[in-house]
Amino acid sequence: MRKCQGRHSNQQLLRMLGDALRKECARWSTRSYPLPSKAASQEDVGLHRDATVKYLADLNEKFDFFPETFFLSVTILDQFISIVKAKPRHIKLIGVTALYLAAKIKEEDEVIPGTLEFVRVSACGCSQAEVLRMERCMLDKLSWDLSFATPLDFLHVFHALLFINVPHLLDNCGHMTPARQLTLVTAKMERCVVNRLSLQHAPSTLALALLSLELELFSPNWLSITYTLQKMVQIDNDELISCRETCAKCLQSMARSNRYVYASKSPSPAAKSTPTKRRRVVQDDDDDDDIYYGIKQLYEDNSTCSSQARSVEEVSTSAALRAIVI
Amino acid sequence: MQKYERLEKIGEGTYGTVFKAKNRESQEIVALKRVRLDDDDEGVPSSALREICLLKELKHKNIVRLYDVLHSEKKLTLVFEYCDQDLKKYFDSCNGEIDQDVVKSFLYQLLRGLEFCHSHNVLHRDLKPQNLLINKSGDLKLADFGLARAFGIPARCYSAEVVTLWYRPPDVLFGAKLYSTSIDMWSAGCIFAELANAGRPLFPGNDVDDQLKRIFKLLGTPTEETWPGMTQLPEYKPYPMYFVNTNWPQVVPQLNARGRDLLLGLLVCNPGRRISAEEAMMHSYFADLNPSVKQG
Repeated sequence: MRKCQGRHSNQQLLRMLGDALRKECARWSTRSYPLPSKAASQEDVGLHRDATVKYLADLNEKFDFFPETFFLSVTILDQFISIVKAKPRHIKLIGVTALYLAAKIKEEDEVIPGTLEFVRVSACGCSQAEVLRMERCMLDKLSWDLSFATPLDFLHVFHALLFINVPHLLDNCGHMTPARQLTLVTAKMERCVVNRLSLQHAPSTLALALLSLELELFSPNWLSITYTLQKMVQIDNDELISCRETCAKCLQSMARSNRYVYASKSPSPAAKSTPTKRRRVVQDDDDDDDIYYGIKQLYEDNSTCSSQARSVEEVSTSAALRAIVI
Repeated sequence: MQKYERLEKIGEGTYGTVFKAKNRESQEIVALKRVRLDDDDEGVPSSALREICLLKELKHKNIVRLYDVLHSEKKLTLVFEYCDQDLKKYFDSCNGEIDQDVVKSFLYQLLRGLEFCHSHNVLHRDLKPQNLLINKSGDLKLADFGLARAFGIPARCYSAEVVTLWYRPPDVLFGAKLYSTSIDMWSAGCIFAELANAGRPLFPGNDVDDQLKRIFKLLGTPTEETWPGMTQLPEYKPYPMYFVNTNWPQVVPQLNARGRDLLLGLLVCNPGRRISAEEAMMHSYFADLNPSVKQG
C-alpha cells in the first residue's frame, strides 16, 4: 500500500517537474542587469532591483504571505523589467505591484489586504492609483499570464522527490526533519534571489544547486543524488557548477549583511539608531567556512582554503548541520 | 469589443456578467464574462486573476476553455468556449426524470475533469450544478474557477470559507484548513446523488449546523475512531449520535447497487478515506459506460 502510494506520488512529482520545466523553457531567459559596480550610481537599475527584492522579502513577512508569494513576485518583477525599459525610480512601484499580483494568485482572499491598506502598510511611497495603474500595465505586458515556474517550485519538487525516494536521508541528523530542512533551504534561496547575480541561472538550476550545496553538508552520497536529479532535468555540468559558485557568493555576501539584522534585534540602541546602514558586524565566519568548504574542495581551489579545509575536516557531519541550523 | 458581436445575457458569474456572443470573423459562438473595473479600488479581482492563470494551464475536454482575455480601461472580458446550459438549468428541464445512462456519463466526465485538475495540482473548491456546463452533444465541462487555487507540495492551510454550503464537506464545515483534493470529491458525491435524483439536492442545509445534522443523519455521526483528529478541528463541536438506518435504495431509488457503492465511497466524512477522482473513474459502476464517453 505504502509502496503504491509512493509510486503514485513519484509519478505526480515527475509530472509537476515536467510542467515546471515546460514553463521555464517557454518563458525564462538569462537576465542581464549591469554587473554590480563599486561606483553605484542612483541610476543603476540592478542595484534598485536588489534593494526592491530585499524590501519585498520583508514585506512578504510583514503581510504573513507564503514564501511562494514572494518568489512569484520576484519572478514577475524580473520578467517585467526584462520586457520594459524601466526607470530605476519606478522599480519599487513595480516590485510592490508584483507582490500584490502574486498575493492575489497565491494567497486566500481573507489574507489579501485591500489596495489602500496594502499601500499604507508597505510604505512604498506610491499612491493607490499608481499601484492600480501599474497592475493593469504589468498584466498587459505579461499577457495576463502570471503562471511562471519559480526557483521555489523546483525546490519543492526536488525536495519531495528526494524524501520519497531516500526517506532515511536525515535519520542520523539529530533534530533535522525534511520540513525543517526545506525551510532552511528556502531561506537560503531567498538570500540568493535578492542578488541579481542569481538571474544568470535558470530557476531549475538555482534550485538544484542550492539543494546540492545543502546535501553536501550531511550526506556522503550528495554527489550521486545531485547527479541523479541533474540528469532528470538535464542541466549541464558546467552550468550547475557555475550556479553553485554563484549561490555560494550570494549566501556569503548576504550572510555578512544578515549579521547586522541579527545584531539589530538585540536591545543595543546604537544598532537601532542606524537602521539604514546595513554594515557587516564583525563576527567570526566559521559557519560560512563550513558551508563553503565543500564547494571549494569540489573545484580544488586549494590556493585560498587549504588551512580552513584542515580545520573543517575535523568537524563531523552533525556539527556541520548544527552550523547551518544556527 | 469589435471582434465579438454581443447576443444575449446568459447569467451572472461570481464576479461578472456572462453574455453569449459571436466572433465576427469566424462566426464562432462564445461566452463573454465581463468584469467591470471602474468603481473598484481593489484593482483586478483576485478571482478573475486566478481563473485566468489556472485556466491557461488547464486545457482539457471536460474543463471550459478560456480562449482570450481582452481588456480596456474600464472592463476586463474573458472569452470562453460556449456551452448551451449549466447542469442546474438542465435539471429544471428534466421534470424529475433523468436517464441513468446520462447520470453515468455526466458523473464520469465530472470525475475526468476533476482528475485532470487534481493531477495538475488545482483544487476547484466550488463544485455545484451551476458550475458544470453541458452542451447539446452531452459533454460536461467544469467551469467557474474563481474560487479555485493551485496547491503546492508542502501542505498549507487554506481558507475554510470555500464551497457552497450544500456541497461543502464535513471537515471544511468543522473549519478544516488543511485540506486537499478530497474537498472536491465530497462535492462530486453530492452532485452524483443529485444527478441520480434528477436535480433533488442531497443535503440542502440552511446553515452550517443544519448542514452537518443532515449529513450525520444520513451517514451517521463520525467518531474519533472512524475519523481520527476530527475533534481537533477548529470549529468542531459534538453532535448527537444519530441512530442511522439509512435505506440507500430509498435515498437514491434510481441508482443501482454499484452506483450506491461508489456514492458511499465519495460521501465519507473522514477526508483521508474519501476516494480519489482517479480511483472513482475505475469503479465498477462505469464498467458498462458507453465507450464513446470513455474515449471522449
